[in-house]
Amino acid sequence: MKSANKSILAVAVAVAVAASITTSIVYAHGKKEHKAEVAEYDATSEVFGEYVPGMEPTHTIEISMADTMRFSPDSIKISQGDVVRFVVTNAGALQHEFVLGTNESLTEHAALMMKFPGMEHEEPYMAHVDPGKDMEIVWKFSQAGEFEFGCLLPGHFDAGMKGTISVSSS
Amino acid sequence: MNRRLFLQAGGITTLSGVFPAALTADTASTVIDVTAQPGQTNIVGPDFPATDVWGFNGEVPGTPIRLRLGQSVDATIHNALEVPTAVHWHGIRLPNAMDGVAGLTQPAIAPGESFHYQFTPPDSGTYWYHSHVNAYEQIGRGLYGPLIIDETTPPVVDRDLTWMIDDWRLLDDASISGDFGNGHDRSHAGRIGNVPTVNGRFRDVVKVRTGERIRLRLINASNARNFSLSFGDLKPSVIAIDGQSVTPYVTDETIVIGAAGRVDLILDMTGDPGSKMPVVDNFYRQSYDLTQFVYEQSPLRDQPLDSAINLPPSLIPEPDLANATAHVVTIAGGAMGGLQRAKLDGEWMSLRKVAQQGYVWAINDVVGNKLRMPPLIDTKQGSSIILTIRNETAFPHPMHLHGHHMKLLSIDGKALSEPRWVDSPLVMPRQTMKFAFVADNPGEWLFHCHALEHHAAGLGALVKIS
Repeated sequence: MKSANKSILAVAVAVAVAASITTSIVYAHGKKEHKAEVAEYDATSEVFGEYVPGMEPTHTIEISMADTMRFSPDSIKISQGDVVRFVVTNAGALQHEFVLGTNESLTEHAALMMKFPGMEHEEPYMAHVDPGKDMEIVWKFSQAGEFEFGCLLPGHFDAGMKGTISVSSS
Repeated sequence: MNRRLFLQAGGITTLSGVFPAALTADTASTVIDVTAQPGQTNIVGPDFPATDVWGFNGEVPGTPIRLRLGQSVDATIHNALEVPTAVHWHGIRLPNAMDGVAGLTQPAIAPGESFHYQFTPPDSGTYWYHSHVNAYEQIGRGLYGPLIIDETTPPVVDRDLTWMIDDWRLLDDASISGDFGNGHDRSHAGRIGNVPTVNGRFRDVVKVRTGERIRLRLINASNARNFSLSFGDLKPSVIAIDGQSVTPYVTDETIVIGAAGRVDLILDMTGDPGSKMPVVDNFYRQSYDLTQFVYEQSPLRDQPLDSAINLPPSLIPEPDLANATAHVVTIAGGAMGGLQRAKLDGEWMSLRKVAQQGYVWAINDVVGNKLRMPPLIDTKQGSSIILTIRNETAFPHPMHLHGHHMKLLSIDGKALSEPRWVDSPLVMPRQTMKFAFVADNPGEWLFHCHALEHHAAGLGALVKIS
């Protein structure tokens, strides 16, 4: 019988994991106090654009999120090189978020959010907005192409809470 | 604010051929391509090596399959394992040929081959898909995934989470113990492991916010471990069992989920910001923390939402109790079961002789050593059946009927105040449960214990509907 070994493993694992839990918790929604400002992040580059600290927006787009699991507008057209300030309003009673990406990155990320609800989830191309609040992010669309945005909260993305961004080449 | 340059209504884009993604989700068919293949995953954290598993698309749990009620599933399953496999869509009332029981409803998918499953789930709710070839090993190595059918109008929640709960038997190097189907597991409680996981991770944390409303879909993918979960100070509302809606009820009792069972809960997170709360399982003698809720510092709302949480009523046809045919099914055998003799391949023999061939359980004295056997129940399509299951063994048995849901009417002679639909009821030792259902789905359907070692050791039978 291997029961002795098994219980040793279970105890060892419990201790090891308990130790790591205490150091790994970071609060992803800690920037809510500064909702009127744009939070500062490290410079970030993605296939769907980039974030540079301090960059000046050339345009502003207002996005509204509703408990019907829809964005308004749900399709946006802009030009390559535009630096967009997104003012994202949560008009519903539920949590919602606005996450920029590609179809692939959003689908993959949504699946991860479903699988690991404790995962870190804070990037310059995301706005987690409490009910009745608004929040701003600034993003530069440095590449032309067809991109998307979505609410990756489990259940919301699958219910169709997504939209498209078409970036025409300059 | 400069909006006119670039903010355009959705309709304009639609005309140019770029459809909003929401429309994609409303198309009639969900095309899925899934490969059963080896993979590696870190189950017990960074201090242990990754574990070699078998998973759908190499992942544990496998790729989630999610669609809306009314959509069809168009799934191609490829087998990249070195052994044959097949996929059962657990709890879905589908055509017999799509049920995925290799050796009964289809030939196994050989290594390198694929099989095409096509069906339209008739019910919304929480289901799962899993291997049905040597399931005690293939599910034990990770071949399962969630299957979610969204209601047309689901209750509004902040997050809709799925927890596939599993139970792994790992060695000290975090590799899977290879003692699948050993004699002890077959004759006792089944394969009970030492590392219980949520979505493939041991003792992960789940971040939540004060005031948040979560729909929690619990799916027990364990070989044999049953769970009895308590959620501390929270008062979970049960909204569905085995995929089917119930009138929502708040319970102070633990949430019991037998192997293969599902329970949908609504949780209003009422803890204080910054606090922690373990989810505790106490089904067996030793209780332990399955996972832990960790509240973030910023609350979401002061008062819980007060919107409706009820799901649409079940669409399953009601049995005609007045004209139903009654069947009594007695489960016997196993260690400490007292069974003396049973019929194996039509021949009475002592349990000692039966056990020499690896079988220890019997249903109505018949050992289910094969998939194709003379049926336990042989009935005409459309007939109503009253099924009484008596567990005369020392162990709990989660009894799964394929292709149907059964309405649980009474437990130990006590009628339920609200009978409920189930497909994998957990029948406790010395317990008697009475069910009724309409045999409306033609074919040869498996009826078996989902403690997978029990099924391998003879706890299975056939229900034939013609």
